[in-house]
Amino acid sequence: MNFLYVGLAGFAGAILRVGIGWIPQGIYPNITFPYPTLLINLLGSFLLAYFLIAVNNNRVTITPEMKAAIATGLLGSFTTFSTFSVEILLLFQEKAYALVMLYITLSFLGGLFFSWLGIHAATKRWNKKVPSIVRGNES
Amino acid sequence: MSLLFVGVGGSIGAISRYAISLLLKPYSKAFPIATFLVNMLGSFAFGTLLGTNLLQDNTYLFISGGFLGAFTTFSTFSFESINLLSNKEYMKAFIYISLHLIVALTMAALGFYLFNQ
Repeated sequence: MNFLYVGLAGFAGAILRVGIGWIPQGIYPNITFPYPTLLINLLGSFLLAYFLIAVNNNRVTITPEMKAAIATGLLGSFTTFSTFSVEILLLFQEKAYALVMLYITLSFLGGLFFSWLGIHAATKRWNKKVPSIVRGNES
Repeated sequence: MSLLFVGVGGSIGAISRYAISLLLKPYSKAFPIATFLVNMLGSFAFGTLLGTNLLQDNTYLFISGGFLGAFTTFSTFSFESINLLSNKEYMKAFIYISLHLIVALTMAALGFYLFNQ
């Protein structure tokens, strides 16, 4: 049953990602820096961390199906790694080495930072110490 | 209409990633191997797709933005990395993050140049 919910939420996550990516292409068609993927990955990192901490704090009750749908389905599909990899490859082929470095740095440091921010925002909001999930008892 | 192809590809991608994460759960306790695996496979496949340049329009969207975009994930990678760091497993975190970057880029390039006509 979880698979159905994950699939439906994955449908929405993929459409949101591609849809958001198309908007700036209409406005700024000549920009080569892949910032839609960057913004999506950073936003998704924040939201996933916030959601998982809120849910695992026992303050927010949610069914296991909904948890899998939102975390694995929606936010997992919304963010992407394969697009990131090929965008780096394409920048390399254009010899845009400075942009390669910038994109990698912003994605990795930004992803970690926003994930950390999500954990702490959720912990503060739900007024508890950092729960055990962050200390590695569950992935 | 194109977004429908993206959505259907995305739901298959999400279900596949979920299935792999469940299958590898017993082995993912020490190291988040499931996310690593899907991201490397997805990067290779996307590179291949770009190299062959065979698929057009909606079929391309179905596989690239839909299936492969959803099959791979960045948010889980970030969260797992922070988990390892919070757990003071600095060496594992370093290996996880640097392997992710190096292997994913290698896989994308490998897929592209192996199948580039």
